Amino acid sequence: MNGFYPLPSEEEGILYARYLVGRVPPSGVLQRWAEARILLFDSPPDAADAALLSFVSRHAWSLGPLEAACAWLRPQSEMRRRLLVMAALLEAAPEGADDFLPRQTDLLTVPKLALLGLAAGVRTLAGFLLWPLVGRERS
Amino acid sequence: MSDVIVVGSGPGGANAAAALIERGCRVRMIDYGNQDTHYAPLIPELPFRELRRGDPHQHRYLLGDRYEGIPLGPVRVGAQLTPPRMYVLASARENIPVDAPGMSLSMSLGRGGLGAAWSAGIFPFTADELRDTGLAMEELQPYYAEVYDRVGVCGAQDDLAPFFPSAPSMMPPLELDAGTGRIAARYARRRHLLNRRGFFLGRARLAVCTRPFRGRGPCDYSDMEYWADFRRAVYRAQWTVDELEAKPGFTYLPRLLVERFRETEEGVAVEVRQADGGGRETLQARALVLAAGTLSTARLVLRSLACPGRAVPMLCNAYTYVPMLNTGMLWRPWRDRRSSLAQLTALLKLPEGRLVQSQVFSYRSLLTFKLMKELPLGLRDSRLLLQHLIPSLAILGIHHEDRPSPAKTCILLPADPDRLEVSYEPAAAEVLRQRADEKRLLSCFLRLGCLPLKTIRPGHGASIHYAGTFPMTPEDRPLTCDTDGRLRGTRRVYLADGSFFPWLPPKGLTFNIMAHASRVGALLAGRLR
Repeated sequence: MNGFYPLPSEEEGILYARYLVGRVPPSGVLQRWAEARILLFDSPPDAADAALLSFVSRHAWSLGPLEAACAWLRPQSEMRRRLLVMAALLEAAPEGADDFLPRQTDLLTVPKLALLGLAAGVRTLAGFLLWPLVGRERS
Repeated sequence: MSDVIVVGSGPGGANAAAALIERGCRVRMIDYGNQDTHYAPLIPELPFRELRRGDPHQHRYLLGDRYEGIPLGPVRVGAQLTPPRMYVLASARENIPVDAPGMSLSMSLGRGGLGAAWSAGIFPFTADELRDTGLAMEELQPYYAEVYDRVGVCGAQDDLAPFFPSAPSMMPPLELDAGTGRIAARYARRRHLLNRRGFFLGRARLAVCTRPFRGRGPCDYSDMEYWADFRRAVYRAQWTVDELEAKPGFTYLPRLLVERFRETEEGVAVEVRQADGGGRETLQARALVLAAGTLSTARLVLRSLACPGRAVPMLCNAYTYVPMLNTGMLWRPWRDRRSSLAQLTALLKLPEGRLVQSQVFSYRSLLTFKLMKELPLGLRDSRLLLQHLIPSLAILGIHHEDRPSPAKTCILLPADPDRLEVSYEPAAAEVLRQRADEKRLLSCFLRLGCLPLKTIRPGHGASIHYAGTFPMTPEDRPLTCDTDGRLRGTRRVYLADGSFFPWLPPKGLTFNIMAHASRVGALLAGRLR
């Protein structure tokens, strides 16, 4: 195993699942997460990715804003790729299906979308503000 | 010795073989023949949503046992190639390698060829589009009809009828889902205005059974077309091969890779290598039909006719995806009963005479996480937004025409083993013209309430419409084929895949390949008799 794992598999899996869907994933998803992590992330990340992963492992609260900033600043970052794998695992489990299947649309959809968009914007902005801290900790 | 050896089991090979068998010939089909025996048995015959909520083993076929269904890189070609369909491309890179810098090429050694993952669009050429081949519409029309009767086609006689010759045996079209229904309703209200701008919209014509047909179908609207072949409602070339295997005179020879052919006094000798073990043998027939796929056929022809270093043309429709927000759906309810295939086809006829063709899909069964990474947001926010947005998303796939140029070539490089190299560099003016055409098309969709969100160009080769290596022409030139599909420089070798197109209209090729292959088979059967 050559990958870079700042957190034990289960802890990392729970951190990502809590962020993505707001709860601890079922045990089957955690098992598959451990397997996928070894298969898909078998080479060490570059220094910037490693710093980001380490920062988030020490400051779990920063995952949301930093990942949102990553979508602009490092869309192919290792952290985002790991989160995507966890999202895929959650989506492909019966317990997680409803977190991903489309919701019925109605007259409230547009205001809901506006609120979600606003929250996403605020989170991204917070991520931009946090971003320099990741670099500072690395140096 | 059989009458004919057919190389390849894709749409061309299967339909050439069917035409030959129907006319009393003895046919051997040589094929590598990969199949999916791993994932298909795992997939329960349930509608997509029900399966997602209930099947504890869904991760195996949705993501793959080695997580091969999780695309971690940028947008790639063939998003519809889900783990149960990935066998279609398996072992091609090792066995039929192609060097194609800057291109994304997909080749198949699967039973049914690339057609096993075909999106089933039926786009017959018009008389104008056939003109460069030297074929009159009357010569191909009977074979369009033959293929309609073999594969089962659904569609409607609507505004697209002038662009797609009619088919008397067409089944009723698939039901539209709620989102594309809104687009069609808006089009009906603004039709005259849009038609004046050269924009025409209609139901997608598809090789899908909407009523029982030859033991297949009807479509069950389970939204599982990208994952499984329930009821065999969507045509796949392997269904024809299955039917042929039950007929006298047909022999399917799997696990063989053709290396070269040579003409003999009596006919054609075909040298093959066994996929398992590597043993070699020579098979004989009175005639040979090459339908291995454009690039594999190019390799075989250039190698067998000793033309290494000789460049032949290479065509491939440029392809662009555009996710659009269908604003008419934002607050309207949707329903689960739907199919994953194209719902609508739109054509833009430009004043210069060119056509741009596009198909409208709605996104549901390819999983949400794949879209989440395309949004410039955190993945959690993307998930929450997409749960509301997906019913209002329409994905437009745009095809452009392609014509030969000196910068689009295919060449067999002499080496041991020889290597096939594809170069494909469209001229800057061509790319600019395509972008301008896309802009005009999108402005028409804007009038239908569809707001383009992003333009994705997955790169040259993305349409998987490879063609044009040995173009059909009435002129007697080497490395072309005549109007019967016979490869010039040979007496008994025929081409029945995309190799024969002299240019590519902005339409899917598969149906035209099948009609051409049927015609080649029928003419060859007549000649052998």
